[in-house]
Amino acid sequence: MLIKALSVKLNGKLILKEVRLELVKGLNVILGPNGSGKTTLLRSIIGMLKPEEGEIQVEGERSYAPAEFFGADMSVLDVLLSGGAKKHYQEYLEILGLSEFLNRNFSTLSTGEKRLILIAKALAEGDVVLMDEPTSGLDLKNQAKLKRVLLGLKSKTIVVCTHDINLALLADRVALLKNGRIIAQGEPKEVLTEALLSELYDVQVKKVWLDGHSFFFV
Amino acid sequence: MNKLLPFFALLILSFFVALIYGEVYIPPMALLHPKGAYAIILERIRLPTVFAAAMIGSSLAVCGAVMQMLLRNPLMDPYVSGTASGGAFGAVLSYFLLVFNLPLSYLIYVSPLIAFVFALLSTLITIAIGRRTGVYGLVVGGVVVSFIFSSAVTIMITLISDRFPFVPSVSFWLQGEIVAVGWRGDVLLFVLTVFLIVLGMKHARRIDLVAISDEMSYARGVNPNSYRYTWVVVVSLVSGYIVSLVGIVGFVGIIVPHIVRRVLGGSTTILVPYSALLGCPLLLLANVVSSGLLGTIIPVTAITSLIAAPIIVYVMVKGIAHQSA
Amino acid sequence: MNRTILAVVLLVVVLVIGLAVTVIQTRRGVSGSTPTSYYPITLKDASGQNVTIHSEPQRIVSLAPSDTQFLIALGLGKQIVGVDYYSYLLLKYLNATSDLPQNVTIVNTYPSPNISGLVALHPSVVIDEIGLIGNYASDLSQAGLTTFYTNADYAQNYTAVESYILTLGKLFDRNKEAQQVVNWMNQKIQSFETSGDTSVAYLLWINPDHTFYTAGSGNFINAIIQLAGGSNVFSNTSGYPVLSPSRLILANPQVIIAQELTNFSYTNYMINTMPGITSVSAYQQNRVYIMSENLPTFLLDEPGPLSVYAIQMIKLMIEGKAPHYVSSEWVESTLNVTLPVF
Repeated sequence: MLIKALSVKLNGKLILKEVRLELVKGLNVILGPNGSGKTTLLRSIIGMLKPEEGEIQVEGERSYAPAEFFGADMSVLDVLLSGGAKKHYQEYLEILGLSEFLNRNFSTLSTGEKRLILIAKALAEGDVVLMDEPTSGLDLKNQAKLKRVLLGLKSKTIVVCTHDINLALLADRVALLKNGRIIAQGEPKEVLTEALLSELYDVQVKKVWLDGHSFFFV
Repeated sequence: MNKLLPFFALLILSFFVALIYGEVYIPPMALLHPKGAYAIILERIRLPTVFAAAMIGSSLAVCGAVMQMLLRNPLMDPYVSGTASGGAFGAVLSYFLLVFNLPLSYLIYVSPLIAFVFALLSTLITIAIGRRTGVYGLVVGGVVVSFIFSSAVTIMITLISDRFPFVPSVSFWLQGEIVAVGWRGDVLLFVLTVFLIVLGMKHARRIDLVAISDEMSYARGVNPNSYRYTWVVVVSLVSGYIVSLVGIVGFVGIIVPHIVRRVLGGSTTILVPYSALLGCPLLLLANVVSSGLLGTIIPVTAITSLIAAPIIVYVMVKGIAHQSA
Repeated sequence: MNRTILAVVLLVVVLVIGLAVTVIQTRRGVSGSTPTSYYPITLKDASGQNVTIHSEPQRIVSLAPSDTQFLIALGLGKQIVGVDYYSYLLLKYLNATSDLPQNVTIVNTYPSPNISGLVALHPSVVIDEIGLIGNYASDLSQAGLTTFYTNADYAQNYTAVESYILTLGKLFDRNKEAQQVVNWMNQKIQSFETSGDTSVAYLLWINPDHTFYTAGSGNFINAIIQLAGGSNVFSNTSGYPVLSPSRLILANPQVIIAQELTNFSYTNYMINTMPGITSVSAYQQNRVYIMSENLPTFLLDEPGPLSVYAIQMIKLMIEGKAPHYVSSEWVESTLNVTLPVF
């Protein structure tokens, strides 16, 4: 799947500038500072924003797990079924350990739990699954659950926008988005270098090895 | 099925009460063996009016439910696009032309049609104002349009009262009087109500989705803005027709979905059918009081608010959590 | 010496005569007016306020058609400097605007009385109906206007109306004339009134949804209907209620009298399309009368001296001797409506 020369304006301002992005089956992570255009990119893929230039070649059913959404005063089951057509929510609910919430009122859940529900829904519904900051607001246990799930899904094209560099380490493909431009994309070990990350975030980023894994901190 | 039973019981009970009590008292015996004046009243006035009240209560409640979901605002009413003020404007305008003997004064003979035309016009203007700006623009547009038409109505009413002292306050019947609707009005009312309920139930899941997130809607191929506006047009057609028929019946659209949400749950799959079921008896009973229980006819909106207010306070104070879907 | 004495005598004579004349004139002046001056006078008006008039009012303002009728009948027409729009309208229908001064000012009273306009007229007293002035009464007093209120609009019978005439007669030192007006009214009432109990439904106004306004018991209109030989089918209500067509069907009146809804054809249309009207006796027997919105309506709605003609008007409808469209012209020519001036 390919995004070619995509330029997108928002309120008259050019946010994405000739973005060229390759996406593969499995986990794709897009890293970028606040305001770099990550959400704009995701919104363009689902057709919410019309590009000035360029094209998006993405096949298959899309689904979206948003960062912000409106409180739904209905049961979790109703939230999962919204939009119609029954999908395999059960599986994903179980894997994420959310089955007990099925009949609870969605609005009584914690923010993190709500997000997980919507992530489960997106995973069940789409072949191309877009997620906006999925790990933010999740406690460590839920983060771990989510990472396990994301890594196990090689049949879907998952596109995640996040700040979580450590999640990017586990991805199949990583892209760095700064000020609306892709400054690097490729395999994690190529892209996630101290130099590139420091340039991306305009701050000195250090990489360390611990127990056979690399971690980043500032 | 257990949940439906009390609703149906309430519905049937209120039907009977409404048949017996109203602008005139029809003895229950006369219901079974109608004779003379009672027969005429029953056939020409009471039955079609009761039927109309039931349909109107249903459809307004459903309209309110859908608007509340789509606009993410639990206080939305069916007249969101200014249909109430627009319809009122049309009705008062035809009166104004008649009373001042202006050109086009013959429009008074089709005054309901004029009311409907202006209700639709206000919808078009609201949509034009709010087109690109999503939920916010729609609501603001509706408010602006409402104000403009309401002011025009006030001006016309003042001018009429100034010049013609013997014309009673025109605004009276604008506030909803379901008193003498004939069968002809009922046919279209029935069609619209059924259409609305069926459409609402078919689209329930989609409405839920649009309520939760615009992005998720786009992902599933639904353009939330055009979807909202399409529903606004449908709701405006229904509410506009109702305004042209009986004036402005308020509160039903706001309160009934609220009660259903608190007691049964807030998914559109629940809101639509149960609001339809609850709206009926509410308006039937309100109309019993409105049509003469207190000696004179009182606008039905005043009664619906009196009935609904304590219910909603009770429901909210008690904090009745709804059961599962 | 003789001339001097003559001059002095002449002077004295002139002085004495002058003094005598002066004394005589003064005494005549005193006895020429009433032994006790009529004014100042204090009367309680219909709102309960005590009103004191210090001298004969030369500039009167009337803000109600009923009061205007009273004043003109009492012979005070030329002292009226301001009237409300409807009073003037009524006089125009009667071709009696000449009863007022030519430069009379029409004072705006809707939605609220034009207080500065009233003050600018420097009225000696402002006469109005309690029902019409409402809460603005205090505004008028605060503006320094002397007000006197009647309550004829809520009179239940002619006796009440006549009492207001007598009160106004007392206020304006026209007691004799007031009694004459009352006598005139009673004479007309006696000549017109008749007994009977033909059931009458009076439709004051019909709304677009066919609900209608009518007059209940305790209303002046009710009294007129009774004097005219009819019985108000809605006398089991009070005030001016809004009723539905069902009530009309159930009441099944023998005669329907409706006020015109701006024009005859629309009124006809609304009556013809009233649900269930075909089962009502009055409709079947073709006993539906539509009163035009000018003189006939005024006669019935305004409880003044002219309303006695309303008895005859309604009676003719009840007896079937009136046209289906009761127009101003017909009323004028048949009843010869004139506002008496005493």
